Amino acid sequence: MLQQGSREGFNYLYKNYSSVLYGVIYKVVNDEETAQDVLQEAFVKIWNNIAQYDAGKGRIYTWMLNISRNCAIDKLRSRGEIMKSKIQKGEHVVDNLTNSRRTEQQTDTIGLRSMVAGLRPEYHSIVDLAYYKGYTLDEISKVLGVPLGTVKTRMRAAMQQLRQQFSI
Amino acid sequence: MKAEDYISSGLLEAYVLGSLPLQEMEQVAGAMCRFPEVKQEVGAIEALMIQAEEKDAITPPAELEDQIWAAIQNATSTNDTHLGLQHQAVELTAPSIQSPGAEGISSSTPSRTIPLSPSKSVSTNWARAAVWAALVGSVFANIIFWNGKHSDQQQLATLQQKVGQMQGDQEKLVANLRRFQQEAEMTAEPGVQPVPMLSTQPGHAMAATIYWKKSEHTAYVSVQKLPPPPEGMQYQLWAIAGGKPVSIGMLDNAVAINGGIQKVPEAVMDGQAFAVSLEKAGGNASPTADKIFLVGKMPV
Repeated sequence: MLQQGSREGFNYLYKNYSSVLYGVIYKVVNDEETAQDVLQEAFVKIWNNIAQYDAGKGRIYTWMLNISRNCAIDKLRSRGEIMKSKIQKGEHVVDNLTNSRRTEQQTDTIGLRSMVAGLRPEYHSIVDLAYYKGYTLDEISKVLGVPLGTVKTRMRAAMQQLRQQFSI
Repeated sequence: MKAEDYISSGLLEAYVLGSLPLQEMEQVAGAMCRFPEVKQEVGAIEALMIQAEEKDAITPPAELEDQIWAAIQNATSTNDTHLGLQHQAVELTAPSIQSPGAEGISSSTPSRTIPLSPSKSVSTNWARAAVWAALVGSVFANIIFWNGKHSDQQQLATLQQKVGQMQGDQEKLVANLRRFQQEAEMTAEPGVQPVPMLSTQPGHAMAATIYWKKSEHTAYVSVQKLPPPPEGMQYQLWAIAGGKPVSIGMLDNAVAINGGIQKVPEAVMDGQAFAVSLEKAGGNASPTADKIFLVGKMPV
């Protein structure tokens, strides 16, 4: 189905994944129109690169989530760069953005974003930077001024906490 | 690193969140292959993320589906060959994401599939275009080469003509030179008497010389200047012995016209003077009186 590039294949993907992908994208870009553009970009990318998906490296769900998230982060960065240079510079931007995000998210749904917001602050900033801003562990370490090892430990602890929240 | 080390490292979480550099991504992917428990842990983290994300799912506007499909079609048509290959490759990896129902859909509607043939026809179109381009290029090259060859041939013909002319000129020069050399040699040869014959016709510059080797009764005639003989006429050579002209043979017309040296055909036994007259071709028994053009006396 997918290999034949058929409309049915697309329908299947779209029906099962579009709302989750759209949700992730929306959380990153925070704008409906932009989110729709990004969802289109993401689907075209997924469709064109599906041959590169390697089942040994994870679920296709995660693979598609990451593509969508990266598309959204790219969009955000292309704008954020302009904002950064105009208004502020340096790592304070990240903290400020993070804080402003956190307050916005107070009214959000009870999904990952809100759960992340409910994390301990040191966990929260790491997951937020990694997942919603596309920072690598190295970059997070530099931006937060925390050793790389600590970033990794906190990452693990954050996910453990999330896991517990879910199992409750 | 052991499996537990990976699990407790925080790398797996970062892996699922997509926040690892490529090198570490590959490292984790490798660990997933080697340690089932690592793969399981990654699966658990993925499940957690998916679970969380599904709570945040937002249904996009209904019209977006067709719009995105159109965008995919657009991207596909501009990238046909590329996709053709990809679609082939997907056969190997896609089964993991196919549901049985989806298979039913695809097998029941084979007519809706996009086969590889579009990319094939694109490639044959390219091949056709390439063949035409090559052909047109070849024709142009041929025209250029043919033109070049043609002008080369023209140049060659011109050169050949020039060379032929020069050869002719050279032959004339060589002939003239040989004549002068022969004359010089005959003049220098002991026992050869040169007898210059001069024009008897006032106002007409004419001249020839007889070289007579009396001891051997042989003679040569060298023409310096004579008018070309009219059609059917020929110059006749005479030796005047005891006041009577004796024919010593005819002058070749070629020598008469071009100048040059010729052996006197008859033996010259005796003579006090020599003369040249214009006679009918083949000669006469006695010279026509008013057609004696040249006369030269033996020096005493």
